[in-house]
Amino acid sequence: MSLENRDQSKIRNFSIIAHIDHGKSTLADRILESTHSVEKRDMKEQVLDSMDLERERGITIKLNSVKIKYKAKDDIDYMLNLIDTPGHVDFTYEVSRSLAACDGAILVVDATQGIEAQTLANVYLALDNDLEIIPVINKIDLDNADVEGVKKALEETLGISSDECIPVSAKTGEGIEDLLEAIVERVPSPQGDVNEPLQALIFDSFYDSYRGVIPLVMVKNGVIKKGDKIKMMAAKSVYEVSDLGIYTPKELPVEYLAAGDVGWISAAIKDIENIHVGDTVTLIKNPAKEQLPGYRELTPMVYSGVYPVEADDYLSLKDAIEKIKLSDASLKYTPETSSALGFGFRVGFLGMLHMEIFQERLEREFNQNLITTAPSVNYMVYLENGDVLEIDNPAKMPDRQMVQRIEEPYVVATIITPNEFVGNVMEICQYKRGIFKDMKYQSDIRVEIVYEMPLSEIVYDFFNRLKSSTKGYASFDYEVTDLRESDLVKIDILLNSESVDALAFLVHKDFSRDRGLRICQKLKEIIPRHMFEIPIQAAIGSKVIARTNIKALRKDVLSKCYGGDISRKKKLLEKQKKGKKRMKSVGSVEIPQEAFMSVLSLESDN
Amino acid sequence: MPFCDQICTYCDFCKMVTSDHTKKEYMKALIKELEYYSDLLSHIETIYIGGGTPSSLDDDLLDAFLEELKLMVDMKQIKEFTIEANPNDVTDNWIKTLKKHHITRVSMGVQSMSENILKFLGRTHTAQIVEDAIKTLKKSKLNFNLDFLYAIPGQTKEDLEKDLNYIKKFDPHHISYYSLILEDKTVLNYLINKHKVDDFSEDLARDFGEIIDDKLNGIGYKKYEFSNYCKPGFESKHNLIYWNLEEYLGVGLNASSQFNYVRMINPRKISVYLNDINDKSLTMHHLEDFNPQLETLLVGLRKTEGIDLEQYKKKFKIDVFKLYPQLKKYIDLDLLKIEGSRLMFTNEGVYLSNQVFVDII
Repeated sequence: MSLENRDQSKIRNFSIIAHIDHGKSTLADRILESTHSVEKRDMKEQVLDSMDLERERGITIKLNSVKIKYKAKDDIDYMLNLIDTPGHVDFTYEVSRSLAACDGAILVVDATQGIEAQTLANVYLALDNDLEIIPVINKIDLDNADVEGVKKALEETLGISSDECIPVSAKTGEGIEDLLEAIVERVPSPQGDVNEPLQALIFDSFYDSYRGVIPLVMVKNGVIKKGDKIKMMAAKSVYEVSDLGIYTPKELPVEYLAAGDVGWISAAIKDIENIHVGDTVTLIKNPAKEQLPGYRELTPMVYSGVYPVEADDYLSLKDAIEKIKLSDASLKYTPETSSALGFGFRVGFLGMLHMEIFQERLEREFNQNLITTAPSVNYMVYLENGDVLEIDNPAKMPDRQMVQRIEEPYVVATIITPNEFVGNVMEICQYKRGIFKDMKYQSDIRVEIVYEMPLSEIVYDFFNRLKSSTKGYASFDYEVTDLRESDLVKIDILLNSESVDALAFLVHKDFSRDRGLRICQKLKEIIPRHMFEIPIQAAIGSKVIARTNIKALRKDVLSKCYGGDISRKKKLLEKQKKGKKRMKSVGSVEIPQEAFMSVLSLESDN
Repeated sequence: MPFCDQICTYCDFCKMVTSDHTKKEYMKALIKELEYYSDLLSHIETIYIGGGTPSSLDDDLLDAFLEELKLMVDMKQIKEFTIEANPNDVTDNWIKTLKKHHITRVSMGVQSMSENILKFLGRTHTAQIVEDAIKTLKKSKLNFNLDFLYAIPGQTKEDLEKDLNYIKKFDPHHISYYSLILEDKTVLNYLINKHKVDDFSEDLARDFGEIIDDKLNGIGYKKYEFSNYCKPGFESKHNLIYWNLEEYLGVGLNASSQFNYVRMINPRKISVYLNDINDKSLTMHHLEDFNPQLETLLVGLRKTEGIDLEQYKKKFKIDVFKLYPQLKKYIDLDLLKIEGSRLMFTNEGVYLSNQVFVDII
């Protein structure tokens, strides 16, 4: 289409927001299918979730966008751009950037589950971005669907009129036509001006080994064409567009992207540090005066040490992390050394899921053999001499005598649970040093509970405990609010009388003895017996607060070996050797990878 | 002989319960396979018929097979001829067949004398049947070995002491006393993985092993390999061939051979084996990993006397400590020791031998 014939008023940019499992990806699939964007025979389950990990976990990590052609009941062809969003609390900023690329959002609520903590968080984000919200009640085909109940809850909690709700079944396709019509009718067309200087919002990027970094953009104003010289306004880097295009969902090159369009740009971008989600692309010639609002540097919430098991693999690990960074702007890392683990990296993550995904990608996509240390939050440490330090690694905590006070990040946690579990939820929150703030009944059976609590307590096994004590029915969201002073102590772990820096952790003074004892016991379970006895001690400074022993190995022998067995027995020995290789030798002790994370699961046993 | 009357819960050997027809077919195939190797058969000094359960063959089938074997092997040069047996099968008639064909030694799987343990292991014999079989064996004057197991889930110290007392009473020439190994793909492994049965503790297994060592030593048995004990002069000549990494020929289903610096193994599936033999196209799969410098240690150090360092150097043209400098560490740790020109495990080292093997493999 030539630029002159283009009709911006026929474009609709929207995304789908939902709590995990409420059917967002299935709904997206059904929309693609019913608009013939994807032929039924080409349908893979959940087309938009392109990473294997995403499909397995049922979550969307990396964003995708698709251009959909739809002939509405008024017989006019509309261009719908579906911009997918990650559905997890760790990725709030990414969600907010992709929502900033939209004018409307489909809010999916499961008719059998109702409103969840993330539903609320997403709605607030959508409202922040001034989006038109189209509430959709999904899974109406299920026997236990409670459409009226959900409508009522939406009205009471969010003030959404029940007339606006569209009941659908993403599984059977029922109601999808109504939804498509609603998108055309209710979502405003993009308001930008093609004649203004170019402003294109980067809402995602990925790395292609042939073409370099490919940013995904939504053009707010102006036009971008092949051959244009472009500039990233925050990063201040400059490139020339070699190609651009859209997804249908197949990649399709186009001549230009103009105000209202969503697509990809290829510009031989090699320097990965210069593409930030939230940044604005403009032209060198006739640049925009200012960048689009809302850009910020992402601040990681949890930090963890990432080390190769074999020191020789340091460079290949570095390379792998750099590659992941290409498609994950939120990842922050710096080199770090540990006396126990050698050379590695301290990596900052948006949250626990983000960390898990990162680890899994390193292991699966890049075949890295890793040691990851237990995550830590970022502490502000005020020293007696007036200095202030930011400490994201417990091993680096200065001596207690030098510390005047320590502040740690606090969050507001919102938990939504069936009322029968209110007692359990409150018990966990209290145990996790929570401060009760608020409790609201969303309906006769669902309760919203608000607590303030230290982020570090959420990092340490909060979610698993919440799940198990509410049979998986509670949902949870949090937002970091401020830093508060806490009486924290550093616990050192000594194996065979040697302090292992990578096992050190910070804990509130009141829990120190209990946690110290638990980690000693946990390590005793995890570390295999050696040829000598290994004392395990937990200490605060020079004072040992808990101890146990791993008894010496007493029997490790193949009782039988005859002619036919030799090859098989050799294989067994080789397997044993491989297992040993996966462990990290610290001093004379071989420590399995999972030991370094053991502090995380200390409480799941009771 | 891959045939059994019943399958034990811990066994992962190649074995099957099958019809008489298949057994006949198989015995014919065995003879054919032996015929291929007739030139090699003139060099053999020991024969071992293992299983499965060789004693589960009918006497006439066994008789016919041994008759054929006699035509191919000069029995006068055979120094030891062993057959494995289940206590249920040891009868006067069976013994008569063995003697007729120059079999010199019986290896009988007793495993335990406690009825509950025998049942748990899936064995069908009883303590009484064992006692009767021993009587028959003694009467025959054949040299005999008894297989026993320890570290069996549920086994108590009393069970162990009972077995040791029976051993004293039975007075065999040779004892193989194995710590039970959990093999993949066995009923027992399944039960333990599913926590239906408690695994046997490592510490108790070590204690049991030492009780066995002491007791057998006290009643005149010499421990000459990790799990094997004998009266002086009654070492298994055949098994020493394995531990000395000498050459052997294996025939039959899933049998392995080692000669001319290769190790090979026959097919594990009986239909494949029978077809191959009948088509004269038996494929013995070459096992790539034959590494005599390493394996001399892996099997040689299983013997109480260990390996001769000078012979090693002569054979491989390299000093073993040059090839495996790690070994020195284990001498310092008292797991290995040198006596004269021999390298061997210490008593402690035997029980931790995998730690050494894993380091050199």
